[in-house]
Amino acid sequence: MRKLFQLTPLLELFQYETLKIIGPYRFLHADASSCSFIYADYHITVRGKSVEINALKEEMLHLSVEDLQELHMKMTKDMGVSDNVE
Amino acid sequence: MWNNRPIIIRIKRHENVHPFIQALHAQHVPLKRVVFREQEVAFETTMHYLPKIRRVRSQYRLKMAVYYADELQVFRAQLWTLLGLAMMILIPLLCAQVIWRVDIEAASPELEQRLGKTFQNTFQLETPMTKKVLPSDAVIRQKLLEEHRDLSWVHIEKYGGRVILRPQESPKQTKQTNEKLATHLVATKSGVITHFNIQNGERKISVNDTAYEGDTLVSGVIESGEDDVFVGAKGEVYADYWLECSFKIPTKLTMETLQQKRWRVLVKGIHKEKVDYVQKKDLPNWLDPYISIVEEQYTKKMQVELDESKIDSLLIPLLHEKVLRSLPTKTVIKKENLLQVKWGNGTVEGKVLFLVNENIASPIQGLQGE
Repeated sequence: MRKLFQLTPLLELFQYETLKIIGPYRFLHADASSCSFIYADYHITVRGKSVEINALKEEMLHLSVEDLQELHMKMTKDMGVSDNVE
Repeated sequence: MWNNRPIIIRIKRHENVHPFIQALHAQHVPLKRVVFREQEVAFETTMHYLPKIRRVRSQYRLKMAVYYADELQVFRAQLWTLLGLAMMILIPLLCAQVIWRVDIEAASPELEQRLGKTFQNTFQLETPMTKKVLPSDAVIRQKLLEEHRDLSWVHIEKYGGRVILRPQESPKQTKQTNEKLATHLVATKSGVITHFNIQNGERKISVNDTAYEGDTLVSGVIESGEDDVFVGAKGEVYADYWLECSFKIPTKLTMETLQQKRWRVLVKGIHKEKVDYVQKKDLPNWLDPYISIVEEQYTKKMQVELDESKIDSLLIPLLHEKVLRSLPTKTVIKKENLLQVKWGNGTVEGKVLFLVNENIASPIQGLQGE
């Protein structure tokens, strides 16, 4: 129920192994060990020994990370993903 | 909307892969298990989005391969599979609501036919029919028993779309034997008594005694002190006697011998219509007018000429059979002696003596003068 009415950004990191974001986002880039996307005015990059995208849906991104090394967030106001997605 | 069959798409690694995935995301195509490898990128989605994905792919000029993800799955949760499954369950259920056959299994075909006719006339039912049309068991039983007084019960069994009526005949009334018992059994022929087979009465002669024609063999009246008690006389008394026969037969004989039995398939139009057969296989009604499978008895005709060498092998057995047929059943010929034979002019004639063992008792009513 919490997620159904989730209107504000939510970023969920579970045991440093899975990362789930709910809400409008923009996928940027991914490879075997990293994934980057823009979510609610932030440019987020996840890096680990291996990064897998479990699901890439309209308003949900679910990653599983093995051996998380970096979770980098940087404000990028010009992107404005939260307002409208491409 | 309904095509949820999972597919795996593999794309060759290219600089346009990321914009392609971004475009898919923008078009609200959900992707699952996105794996980036050195040479390729693979992800899972459903068949429903394939046209959209193809359209986007052509814009980015990527090489793409599509595979079904559920190839190894036996049961797929697809619309057609579910519809098929529903049909598989529904068809027998619906068919079970209909009665396809009403069978009658009685002890005799005549009873089956009579009961079938009654059932048809009483209920006016045509198969196939719905189960609701069929009257209750009690009503069927009552109507059938009303019409057939000789039945004690009708078992009604239902197996799916088949109803079996099994009439039970009431036990037959054993007829009281009102047959009048004879007073005495007397000898019809003279002979030596060999054995008795008596149900009622008292023996008046013993085994190995000679009985002459007209003698009382068994008496139906037993003397008890001064009273005579009537018990009746019934049974058989066997005696040996000699029977002399003269014969005259042509020396040329035509004989028919039985050969083996053989099965044959007869097709209408090719083989002749009427064939004498020993037994016939029951075939389904639709096939019966065209094909029949019958077992035939083959016979072989042969010409035999009688001569002196064949007296024991052919002439005696022939006479034996002929005489035996002319005598009542249960009669035995114990011995035969050829008295004289005369050959000539294509015929053989002579006399033969048979030792016959036969029932010589004959029942008589009223008192025999003693």
